[in-house]
Amino acid sequence: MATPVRIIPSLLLHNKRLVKGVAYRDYRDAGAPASTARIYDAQGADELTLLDIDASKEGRAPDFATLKNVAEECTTPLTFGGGLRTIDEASEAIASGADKLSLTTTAMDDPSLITAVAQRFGQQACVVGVDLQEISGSVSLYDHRTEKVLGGDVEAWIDEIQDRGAGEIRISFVNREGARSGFAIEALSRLRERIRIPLLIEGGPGNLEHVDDAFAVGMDGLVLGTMLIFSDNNIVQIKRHLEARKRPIRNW
Amino acid sequence: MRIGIVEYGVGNLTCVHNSFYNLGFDPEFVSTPEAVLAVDRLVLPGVGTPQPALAGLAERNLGEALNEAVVDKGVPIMGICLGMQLMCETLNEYGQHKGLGWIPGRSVHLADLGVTERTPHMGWAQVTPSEGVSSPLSDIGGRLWFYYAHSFVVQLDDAAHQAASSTHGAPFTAAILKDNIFACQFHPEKSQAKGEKVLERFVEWEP
Repeated sequence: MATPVRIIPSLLLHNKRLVKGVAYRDYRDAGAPASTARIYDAQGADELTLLDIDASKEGRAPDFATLKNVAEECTTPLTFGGGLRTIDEASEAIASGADKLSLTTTAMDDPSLITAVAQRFGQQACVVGVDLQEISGSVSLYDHRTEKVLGGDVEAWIDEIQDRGAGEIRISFVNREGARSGFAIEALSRLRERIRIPLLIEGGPGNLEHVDDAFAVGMDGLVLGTMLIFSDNNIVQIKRHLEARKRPIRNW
Repeated sequence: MRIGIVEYGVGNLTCVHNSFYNLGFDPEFVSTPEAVLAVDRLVLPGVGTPQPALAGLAERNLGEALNEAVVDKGVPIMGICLGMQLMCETLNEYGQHKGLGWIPGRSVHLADLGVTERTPHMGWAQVTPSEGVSSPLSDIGGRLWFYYAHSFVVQLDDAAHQAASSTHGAPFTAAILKDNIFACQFHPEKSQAKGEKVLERFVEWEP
């Protein structure tokens, strides 16, 4: 059997609470971090991603205390990110219970951080997030700190992330966050061709068909937020649906 | 029962500790030769690359104590991920390194086994225990899904040491058993209920 596609709940951390927004704004409360993680754990999530969405904006270290709380009872692999700027902060995240580290804007500020994290903690621990914005058919890099679209070349950045030793790429379509209109299948499929390491995709799904459609991309994991938080779907239902469609997922 | 998690400066020891703790045990971190020799069960976790890991063991003078505990005294030990690879004679990752030498074999990149699937291999895979080998993995029952995050695997000289296999494009060694040494390439501490079962079985294990 092919390696199963991972179903990964996305937990966004803001003032010690979980939140979920639309297009990286208008955040609503989405529960307490540790108990929510425990629920996803019990439902059979394949991994969890916990991101401190304010740290990089505020230029501070991420909320390691909450990470520790979540990690304490979490038997699911946990990726942590949000404002990790230095190897020392990365070490503290690992010591607080993260299995993998996610770098997004801080990797753009200092691409050598990708290599440093991969060499210190292993390639498998280094996830680089790429935030993209679609504007009239074209795709651009996006910086959530300034809420601005960046001029850089998306494909060149994706190449560089891999050349610098990242173990995984997570591509998020900012304009689709919370939109429930489906993934950016075409753009993702095009980018997939350039990516030789595992690819996680995020942004857009609103129903089970959208999740099933995503398999056209050939991704390794689906990062889900809104769909799990503000709808009637849960991981068990999603997996049952995908299993019925003969998709490679972890069942038990 | 004293469980010692070897602390040598690399890897995610917190998760391993939390997992044993949540099962009702009180694991200790051991980072000196004396501490290594004082416990009834040893766990050698490991995340990252061989060079800093081996340097971490050397700096703390742990090599000899581990040998004494594992080889001379027969203390049951469990290696996890890189910890399993460290138990081999040779490691090939960012150069060639000499391992602890307990298991005849070496670590090689998945691509060297002919794997064309994407690496690192990240995610869950089913594990098939080897027939006729009794290990902490035996008789758990149900589908044995475990979590992996690795690019390198152990290539054994003696197939009899293989306790289980998994597949990522090609079959590879998922777990090793030799005398009082048990090791797995996957992460039991990150594999939900089935992983907890393996940790529990390891503590109860009488090799």
